[in-house]
Amino acid sequence: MTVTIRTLNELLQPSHLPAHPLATQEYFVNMGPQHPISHGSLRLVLRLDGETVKEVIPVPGFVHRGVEKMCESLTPRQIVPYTDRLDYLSAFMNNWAITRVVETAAGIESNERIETIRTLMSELQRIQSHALWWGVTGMDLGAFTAFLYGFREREVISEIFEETVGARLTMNYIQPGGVMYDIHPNFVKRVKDVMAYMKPIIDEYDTLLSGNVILQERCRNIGILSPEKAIALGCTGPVLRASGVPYDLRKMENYGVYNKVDFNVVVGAVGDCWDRYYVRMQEMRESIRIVEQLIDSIPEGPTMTLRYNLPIEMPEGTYYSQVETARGVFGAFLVAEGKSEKPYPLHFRSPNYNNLWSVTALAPGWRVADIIAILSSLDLVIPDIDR
Amino acid sequence: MQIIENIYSILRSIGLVFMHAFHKRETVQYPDEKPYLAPRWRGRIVLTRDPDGAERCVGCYLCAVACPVGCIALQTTEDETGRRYPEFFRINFSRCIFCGYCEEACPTYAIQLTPDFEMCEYKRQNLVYEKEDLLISGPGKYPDYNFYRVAGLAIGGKGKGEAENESAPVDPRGLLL
Repeated sequence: MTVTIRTLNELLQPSHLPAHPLATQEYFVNMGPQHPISHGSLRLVLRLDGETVKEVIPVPGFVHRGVEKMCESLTPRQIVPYTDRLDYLSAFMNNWAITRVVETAAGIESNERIETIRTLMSELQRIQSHALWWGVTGMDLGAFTAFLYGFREREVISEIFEETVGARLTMNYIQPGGVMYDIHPNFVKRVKDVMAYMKPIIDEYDTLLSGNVILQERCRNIGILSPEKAIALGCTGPVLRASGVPYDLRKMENYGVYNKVDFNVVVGAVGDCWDRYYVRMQEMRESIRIVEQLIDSIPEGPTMTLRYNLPIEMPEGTYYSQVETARGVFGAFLVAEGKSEKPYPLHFRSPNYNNLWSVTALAPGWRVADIIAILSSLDLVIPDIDR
Repeated sequence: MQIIENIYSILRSIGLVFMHAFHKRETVQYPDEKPYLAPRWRGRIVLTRDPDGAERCVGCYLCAVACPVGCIALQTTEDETGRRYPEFFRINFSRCIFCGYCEEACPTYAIQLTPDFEMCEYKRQNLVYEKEDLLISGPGKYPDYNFYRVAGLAIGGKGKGEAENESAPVDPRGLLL
């Protein structure tokens, strides 16, 4: 695949001028930055021929905060709360990515208990994130009830996090050397209750939305992403797996205690919006399986192996670690100078950025209404794109 | 046949929503009905006092160093008996991200995060909390802890060797001679 770099001004020129005064002309429509589908501030410029989309030009950057630059003046522990604010729906996994790279660099050993708690929290958050995504997708496609139902389940899992972590969104829980607090005494019981509650709920989701003919019509065979294209665009997570590529870091990277649990990597067959939808629904079920296998056997041990307020010494070198978030591969690239514990530079590889650009390959040829289904099936979180 | 299936799928969705009319309500009437906040909730920051009613903060600056956004400002001073306390203690809540690092860094349990989030203001300046806004009259999450009762430092009302689990000071010269 060749990539030509063009400026926005060059992109926004109509491809041809009408030869005849009555001839039709291509035109541009801004979708966003304030559009319900953008789930934040994302501008999409659509080049339209009538109702048909010829080209989609994503213009990210509305919530750019310069997180990577800010992190250059922070110690590794202080970076962790900043990663919460990238992909805020998978804050635990983002924490884990920066934690893993720091632990690799500094040679910090963690124990079985820490890894189990981290895995449990990440999987709970994956369920939570997918439940919210399901609701939001429903709302994007015209089913407002789904939005309320999705938030209902999100609330139930949020309450577990609230009890153990003390926060509902910006977790700041997984730290270099361990986790911030030990799990709450009620944690095991509540997780079991919620998992028992979630299983019929996902069937209810299927009854409400998955089987519904309106959703089927709007998703089936819409926006087909071929596996070659998905790999070339760097898509990860459910977007890539829906195209039939069984790429899941939980199986391949061997971090946490994923090698001890039995779960399947869910892959789609066609790579259309429906596959991306259903891969996430099945992933919720797989995550429930993972949680149920781990919740009874949390080993004993300390939850922090590092002393607070001591500098984390990282020898000179470059380090990279990645984890599978709810949206794909979140990586952290860190260069340690050896002199100070502050990284210079630090770079995040966010899954949403690559998934966003797959819309340029997906959208051409479809109608404007299909862009809604395509974008919501990509499950984008805008602050993670813009950083 | 397909059309009957399609109509059934829509009716099934409507039926499911209708059945929820008879379920327990999930809505919380928020301002009238307060939600339960866990004791670990990381919310508004307070400065606590020890059981004797004196300020716990010894002005060690660890919270200000641990803060990722640098929203804590303080200046330490000492009273005539050698007890350290902050001359001013200022938290800018428009910058605070409620990460909980200050609470974790505090060696005397002085700074604590509380289950309270209702602190909106119309003016940004009103989010800068001074020491008198932050200090509460109670000991917070650790009701029995008193730093000066376990520390070896001599302050007013407590001499050397009078702390808990501390033996009386030894005169090293007396041992030598």
